[in-house]
Amino acid sequence: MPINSFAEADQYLREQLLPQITVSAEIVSDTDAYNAQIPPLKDFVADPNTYPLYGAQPTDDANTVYVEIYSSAEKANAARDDERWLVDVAERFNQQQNRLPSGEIIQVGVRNIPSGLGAQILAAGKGKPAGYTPAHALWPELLKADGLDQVETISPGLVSTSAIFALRPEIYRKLAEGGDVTFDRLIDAILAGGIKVGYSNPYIASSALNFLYSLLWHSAGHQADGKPLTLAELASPEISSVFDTFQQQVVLTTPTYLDLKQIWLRNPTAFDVIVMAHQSYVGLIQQPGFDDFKYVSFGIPEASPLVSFAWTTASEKAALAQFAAFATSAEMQQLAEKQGYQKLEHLKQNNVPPLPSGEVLKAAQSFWKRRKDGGRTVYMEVVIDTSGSMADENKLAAVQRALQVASQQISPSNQIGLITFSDHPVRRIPLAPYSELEQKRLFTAIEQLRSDGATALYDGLAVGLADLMEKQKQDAEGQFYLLLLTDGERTDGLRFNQIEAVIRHSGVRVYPIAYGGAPKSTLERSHRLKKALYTKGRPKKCRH
Amino acid sequence: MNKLLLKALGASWLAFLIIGIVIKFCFAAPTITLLINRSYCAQTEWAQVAQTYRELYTRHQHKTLRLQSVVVFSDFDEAVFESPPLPTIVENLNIYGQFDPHRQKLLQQRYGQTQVIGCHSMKDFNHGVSADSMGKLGKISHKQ
Repeated sequence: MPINSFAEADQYLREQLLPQITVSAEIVSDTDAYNAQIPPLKDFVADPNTYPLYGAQPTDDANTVYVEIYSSAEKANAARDDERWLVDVAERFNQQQNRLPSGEIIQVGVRNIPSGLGAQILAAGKGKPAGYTPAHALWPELLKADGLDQVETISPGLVSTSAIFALRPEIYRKLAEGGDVTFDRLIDAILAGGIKVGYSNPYIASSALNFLYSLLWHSAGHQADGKPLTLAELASPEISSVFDTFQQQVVLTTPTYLDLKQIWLRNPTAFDVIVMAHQSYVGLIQQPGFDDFKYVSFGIPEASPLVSFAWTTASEKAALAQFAAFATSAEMQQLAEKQGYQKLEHLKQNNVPPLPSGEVLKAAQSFWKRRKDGGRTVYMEVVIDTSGSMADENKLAAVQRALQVASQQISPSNQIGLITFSDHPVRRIPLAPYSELEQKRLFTAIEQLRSDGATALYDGLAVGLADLMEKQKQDAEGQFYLLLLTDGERTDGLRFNQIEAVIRHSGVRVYPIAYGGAPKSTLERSHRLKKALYTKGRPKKCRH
Repeated sequence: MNKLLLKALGASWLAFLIIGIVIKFCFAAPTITLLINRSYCAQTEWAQVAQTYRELYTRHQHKTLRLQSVVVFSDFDEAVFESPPLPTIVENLNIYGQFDPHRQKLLQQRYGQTQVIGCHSMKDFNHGVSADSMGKLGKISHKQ
């Protein structure tokens, strides 16, 4: 039967495929859901020790002052030549065996943690490093608003870069026909429609938070008066209209812009523009096919401030100050330039928004979380592989942990469903508005997952699609997503070619996420169909 | 005889030509640049702006009004349509942001003969009253 429309896909799915599938239901009862105790979110904050540590390692040597610094990822990734500046600085500093006036040798360890996750770890009290160097000064303001007192600036900036929009060349050329391509001009073109935007999570990614604040600040008309954004302004329908219209153009939101960059490198037409840091853009345009991409800078400086905390001792502060002086020396700044760090024109002209209070930033993040779906209901079916192999390497446990965190951050207006599959699919949570009871039901259902049996991958996918397509008939304006988490090839049930055309015409965006050693071929089939994201699974990837 | 006829014919054509030119200059359709203010308002209000545009567009089609160009502006930027867009395009425009009277003033100065349509007007801004509370829709202001 040829399938060329939603109606035909729906008919084929229900008449030809679903009758071949045995589906059972194991719904958590209302009583069990009511009795569920959901731990506070901060209990789920990641363990900082799971993030890589470069430079020096902790030591008990009484003649050494060891200082650990949480660093934003784009300057502390030793695995990439254009993202390892602070690691290089720390290694050179450590080699010099610099001493405090009291005689102890200073050794610096740099832990690579995305700025926003670092802030969450610090706010939750899960880690107490001597220092913290996020990409920009908005994160320390957020920490102050979270109740961390004595956040003290050791250095206002270790290295300078800027948040930017990276643009495909044809988009830039079109905008340039009307004059200089400014932030305002680009935003107006995005808001007018027709430009595909890649954005990241402003709870984690620095450039995303910088953009969110800049957009709201511009929307409030403060580029004219230079005043900071206020809490009251966030309630204005005019400002909301700008944000809502922008969100309609966002085709994908990832945890950090580094994920967007990797997707772009695989598929240059995935986005027209993405929000990222200029320093990383310098590496991007060295890649084949990206040499004529352009950028537009904006926002507060991404200057990598270094701060200490109430628990940082006096000798640690002195050590951090020496390290900051070394990092800002001419030699280290030249090294930074080689890795793509530059002070861009808008920063030289000081054409930047003022630093807002942490309260305003928290409100802006909440604003994003509340309104990011543009007023349209999001329907998401989470389809999880619970076959026997998911027990290996604690893969199912990692999925459970990630989903339990995510289950606490879903807007009540959205609808979430949960289906698992091994030998056959099991409906565990039907799609329904995400009330407090449904949140508890989902939390409990995730907790109850056990791995066993074969992998009827496409049976699970078919049942999830059927549920979402049914909802689509009732709400054509909704957004429909299916998150497929698996670690293996299908071993049972439907085959890919039986469901391929249904996926294509389903109106559902399928995001396959590979856990552990999942064969890439399995998931890339779906990737080809929906231009979806092939992602190596890690708990933090699922969190937001 | 033929000469006389030719002279009469020539004079007649000349008279027609002169009358045509006089009519063209004296009764010509007014030419304007239309400025569309796309700042945010309720969809029902924007529908009335779109209706106003539809009427202007119809007059342009009937040559009783010449829309030399159409400029859509927001508080971020402006975009120029080389020829008047179809009314459905205006009806479906994304509307967002705050009314920017400064940009409107600059555009009026730049284009000379202008007409502005939108949910908000300079009067609202000058009086510090929002268009929502004024409840006035599809407002038109001219600068000739």
